[in-house]
Amino acid sequence: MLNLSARLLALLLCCFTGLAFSNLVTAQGYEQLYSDYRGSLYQIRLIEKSSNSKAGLGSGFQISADGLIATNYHVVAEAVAEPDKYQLEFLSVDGVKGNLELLDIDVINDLAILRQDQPGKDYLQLAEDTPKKGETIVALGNPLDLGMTLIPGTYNGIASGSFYDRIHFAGSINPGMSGGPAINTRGQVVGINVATAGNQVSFLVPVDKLANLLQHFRKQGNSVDLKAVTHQQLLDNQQRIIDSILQADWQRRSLGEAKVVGEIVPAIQCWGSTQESDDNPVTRIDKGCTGQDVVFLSEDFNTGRVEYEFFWLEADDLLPSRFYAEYEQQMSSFYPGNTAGEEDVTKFQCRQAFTSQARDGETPTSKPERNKKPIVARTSYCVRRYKDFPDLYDIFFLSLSVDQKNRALVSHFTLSGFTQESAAAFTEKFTSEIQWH
Amino acid sequence: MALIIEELNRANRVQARYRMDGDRFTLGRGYDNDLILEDMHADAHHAEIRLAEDGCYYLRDLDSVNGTQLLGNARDKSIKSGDVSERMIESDDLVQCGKTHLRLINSEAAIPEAVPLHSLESFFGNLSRPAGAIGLLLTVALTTLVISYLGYARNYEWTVAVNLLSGSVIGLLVYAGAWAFIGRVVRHETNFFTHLSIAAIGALIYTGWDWFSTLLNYNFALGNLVQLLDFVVLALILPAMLWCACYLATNLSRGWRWAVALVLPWGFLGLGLAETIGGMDDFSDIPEISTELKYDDLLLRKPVPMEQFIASSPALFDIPIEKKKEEKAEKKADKDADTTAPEDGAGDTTETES
Repeated sequence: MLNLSARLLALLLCCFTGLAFSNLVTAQGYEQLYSDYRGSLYQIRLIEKSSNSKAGLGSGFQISADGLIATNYHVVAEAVAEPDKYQLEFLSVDGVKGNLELLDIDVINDLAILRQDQPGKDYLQLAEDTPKKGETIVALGNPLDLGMTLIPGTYNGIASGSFYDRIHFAGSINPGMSGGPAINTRGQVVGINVATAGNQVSFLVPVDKLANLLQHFRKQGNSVDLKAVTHQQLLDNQQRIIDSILQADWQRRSLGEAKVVGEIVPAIQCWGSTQESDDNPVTRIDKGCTGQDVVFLSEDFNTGRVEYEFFWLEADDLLPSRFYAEYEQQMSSFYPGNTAGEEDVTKFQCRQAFTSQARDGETPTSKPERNKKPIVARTSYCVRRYKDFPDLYDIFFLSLSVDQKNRALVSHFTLSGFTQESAAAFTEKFTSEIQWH
Repeated sequence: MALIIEELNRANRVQARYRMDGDRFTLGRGYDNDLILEDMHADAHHAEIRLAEDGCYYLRDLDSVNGTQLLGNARDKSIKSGDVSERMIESDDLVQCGKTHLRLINSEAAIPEAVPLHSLESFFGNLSRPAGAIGLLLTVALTTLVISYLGYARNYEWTVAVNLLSGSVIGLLVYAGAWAFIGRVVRHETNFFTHLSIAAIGALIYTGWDWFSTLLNYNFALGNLVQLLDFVVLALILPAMLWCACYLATNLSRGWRWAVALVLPWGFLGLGLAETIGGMDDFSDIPEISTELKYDDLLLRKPVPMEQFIASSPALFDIPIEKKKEEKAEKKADKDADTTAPEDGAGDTTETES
């Protein structure tokens, strides 16, 4: 009996001490982690040549003995676009400065590989296994130029609702930490800090993307044509997105009297609302769907977005011209889903026409005569071309029905950074799926 | 034969006319003169005109304080102005006594042909009827009201209606009032209702065009052409209105009237037009499509099947992108020019790198 209780006590004690010990280990562990790996962390500085001052800051880390540094593409994007105007420098934790040469980029996953002019001693290993959900990982970087900082958080798997894989990291990533590593407790890189949604919701680029980029760079040897690489990545990316969309089963949902599509693939998220007020006889039901993330190419140029919206407008006992005046007013401003400037794209080239589409589907009991007439819509199709990537386009589609006295259906989509073939396939599918019985 | 002496007012219009039938005619402030001058700068006996034996009239200054001046001749521009002590009068001499302007005309001088009444005179006569003018004014007000009501789906507030009505009515009244005032001052003619009718007709035509242009834009997606057409319409309406206003309210001669009526509106419209055309080719990140929407009872075109519309889209993808190369070339030239001046080496290295 006594023996048994003594044993139990011993066991309990063991547990407590074990717990206390493990706490001690993590606390010590962070200090240990920092002191072990601080040597491979760098601040990446974008220097404007003419004023010789910082124009942007980010973080980076060494990934090989020969001085390769990984960071985010968006940290160095300006130096890619205007190599004459900017130069890149690194600054180690101990204050060692040096120049960086840009070697390879992955614009889809926001990664860049650079080379130090004098390689540092330490470098980080890339993890080969994925962390478990809830596992503690530590983000490192230099937030707001305050000095190298360590931020523990947890790994929460790949975030859903995007065409681009990102690790959901429960921890605070702040400006300036972009491009820094997130490491597991064994000191292996599991992700690269990239973005935050605030309140401990942050995103990391999975490390396998970096491993792929490194492999690509090694395979290419030392010469990578960054523009050609970007072009190929954009092409592959749009193909991947369009394939996933076209292969999916497009489920129709009703919107007013019409049937429209919703979340075709998990990466596209839809939101809806109804606009009605006492002083406006026109009720509008909105449904907007979009792929959350875009591919960052430069401060004022992004691409890779798929976006579509639908509006249903209806009113009772309203003169057609009054209904159409309100309809016109509400539907007069549509914008492309991405940002692009004169340097990057041509002007939109548009075609506008009145289109007719048969109302197919089962016969409604109340209004049989309406079924005979096709849907007549004012449809616009606009295209702009990328100046640097001439087989990529932004596509803008807008179709506004005009055949009912006080009912209207609007369907609209924009694709950014797609080829003509992809656009044609999407447009055909999209227009054939929208129905109004 | 006689000599006609016309006393002119400041606007060079005849204030009084005298006829000299005898062989002596006196001018001055004194009450015993043939022409009594109401002018404190004129002497009591300022000047006289005599019919000489050779049948000519002579003007002679009577040593007046301020003298008598020849200002010129309305018919013969070569006659120079100057002080007169004695002068053989030629028909249409302009003369100043003190501060009074006189025109001296030989009664047998040729009289120019009568100016025929302008063909629009009867039109203006019709427009001058108050009932018609007020009717037009009300039509404008009602049209504005109806258009605003049909162009607005939300609850129509009476304040909006009152605002619109009073706005359009007051606008037209002010326009007519301003020209009537000018006419009153310059020509002693008010023509208020004629001005009001013209303003109302102008407003109606423009409103009609405005609606018609939306109809055109809806059916044919005219794009920038709508703006250009708008300029054209304004370039017709505004000169017409201004011409009428000048005709009714001022003494401008035919040529000047046309010049004012055309140059002023076309000048301002031209500036606007230049700006519009200049801005047309500018980069815009928004698709330039016509957003006009109307119920299909106003649709004049036959819709094409959606499949056919989409099938024709590939042509859109053929967009030339030569511009970028030009820009690049320019930039490169600029850059080279910039860099070579301060440091030659830097320019070279960047080029070899790229």
